[in-house]
Amino acid sequence: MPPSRPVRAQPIPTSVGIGLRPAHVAHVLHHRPAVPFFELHSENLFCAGGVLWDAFDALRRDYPVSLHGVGLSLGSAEPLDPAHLAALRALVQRAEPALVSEHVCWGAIGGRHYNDLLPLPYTEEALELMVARVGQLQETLGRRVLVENVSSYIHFSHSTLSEWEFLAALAARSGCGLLLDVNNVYVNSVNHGFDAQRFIDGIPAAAVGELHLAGFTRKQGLGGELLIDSHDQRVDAAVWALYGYTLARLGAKPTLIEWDQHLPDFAALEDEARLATEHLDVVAALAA
Amino acid sequence: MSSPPSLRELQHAFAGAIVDGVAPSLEPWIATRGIAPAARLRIYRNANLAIHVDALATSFPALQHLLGEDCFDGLATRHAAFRGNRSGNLQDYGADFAAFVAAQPETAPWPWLGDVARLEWLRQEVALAADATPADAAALVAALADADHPPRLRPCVRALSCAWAVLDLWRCAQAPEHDAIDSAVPQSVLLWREGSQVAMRAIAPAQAAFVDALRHESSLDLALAAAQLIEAQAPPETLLRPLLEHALLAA
Repeated sequence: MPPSRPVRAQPIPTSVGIGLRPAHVAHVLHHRPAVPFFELHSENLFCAGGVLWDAFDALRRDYPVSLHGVGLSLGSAEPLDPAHLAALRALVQRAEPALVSEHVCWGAIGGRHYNDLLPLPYTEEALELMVARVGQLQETLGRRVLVENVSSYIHFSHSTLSEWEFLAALAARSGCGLLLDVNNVYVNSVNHGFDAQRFIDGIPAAAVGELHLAGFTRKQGLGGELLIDSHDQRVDAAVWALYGYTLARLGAKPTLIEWDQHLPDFAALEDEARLATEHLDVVAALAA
Repeated sequence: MSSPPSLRELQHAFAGAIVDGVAPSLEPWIATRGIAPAARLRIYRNANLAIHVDALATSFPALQHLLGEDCFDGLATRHAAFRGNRSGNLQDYGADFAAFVAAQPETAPWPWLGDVARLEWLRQEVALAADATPADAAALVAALADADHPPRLRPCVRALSCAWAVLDLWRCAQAPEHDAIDSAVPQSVLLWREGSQVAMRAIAPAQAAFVDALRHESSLDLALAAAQLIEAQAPPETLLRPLLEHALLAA
């Protein structure tokens, strides 16, 4: 373990950060762009050392950082993987991130991990399990976490709650915060046929600690309309509109631009962040 | 219609759809909205294969080059479908891929492919290993004289001995214009991290055995014995030389 870092965690500002992927690390460390915060995938730092930790340490001195987990499988019907949980705990202790987040989903069963964000049915059984698991996570880490709504291509017909009711109840019962992915709300509204604004209206503003924005892809040839949460292009106009509605409804929130596939130059992400900042500025002006 | 599945039943059935492509017990509980449940499940099955094939391609670029993209994708898809990952961290995925590749009938004409994959997995271990300060001269002298506290390797050090010219084959994959190589020449390789790069060099088999024994926390005497099983008269200073040359012993 390296010695303690010279600075403690800087809080995440209410502005627009960028999800940092390994391909952009060298650019960011060299040019030190004026980005208010960066978010990294927790699992990228599960290793003990090496170039990713060198980069993180350098980044962490100059920027607030949040850690976003993709592999804990909080909603699995089987117990959480103790090794994964221990690795996350060690990471959070070492990295001292401003925010820690995970997903409202499952990804492992029968000892096999699918390394994907698989959908839950919105039932009382799933809610109880998620409340317990988020409680276990928060107790293990000794801090509040945010959990993110995921995009899905399947809706289980035996669900007894809407997705937004599920999220609101999870936050209320577990005490966790919500990372509201506006793109995922829009994608699911198309895929499952609900009103995206109604979803936003159902989310308790005080619980939301961060927003995510990303691009989606339209899947053709299935016989019906389906959007895929591909994170491989610019934020869609419909999502920008929903983001504006979300800010008006929930107030200004730290926001993150995510781009994971077919990564463009870093400038394209900065451009998306600038557009999101314009939306945030409108909310700030109205609130003033 | 029967009662809805429990969460555990649902997840096992969903996993069946990802692995086998069918989930008859689950489909009645999936809302259609113009798209058949099987088609919706297939999106997850295809994504799962793509995620794991991409992860293997990232970890085994030389193997991909040597096999060609189509053949590599075929092997990787089969591994993803039948073996899968036992970890929520994709960095862990692929530890058994070398053995899998070596056991496949289509790789039989190129028996060195498994060793190239082993080398690539070690490169990943080296890249992700913990940092450690190299020992200075005084610490080295003390450690070499103290039987109870043998010298420790830096965590980023690995060694590999193969019946094939694995290092030359790996280099050939990086630079195909490389001169023709004789793959049947046994080769041992020392790997370590130098700055942000993974470094490699050929070493003698006895040196590789010595490094491997030290890596598993053997005493200096036992490490020496392991090396001398391969080369009876291997002198300790020869065994230590590459470790000293590259400052691979930890403080």
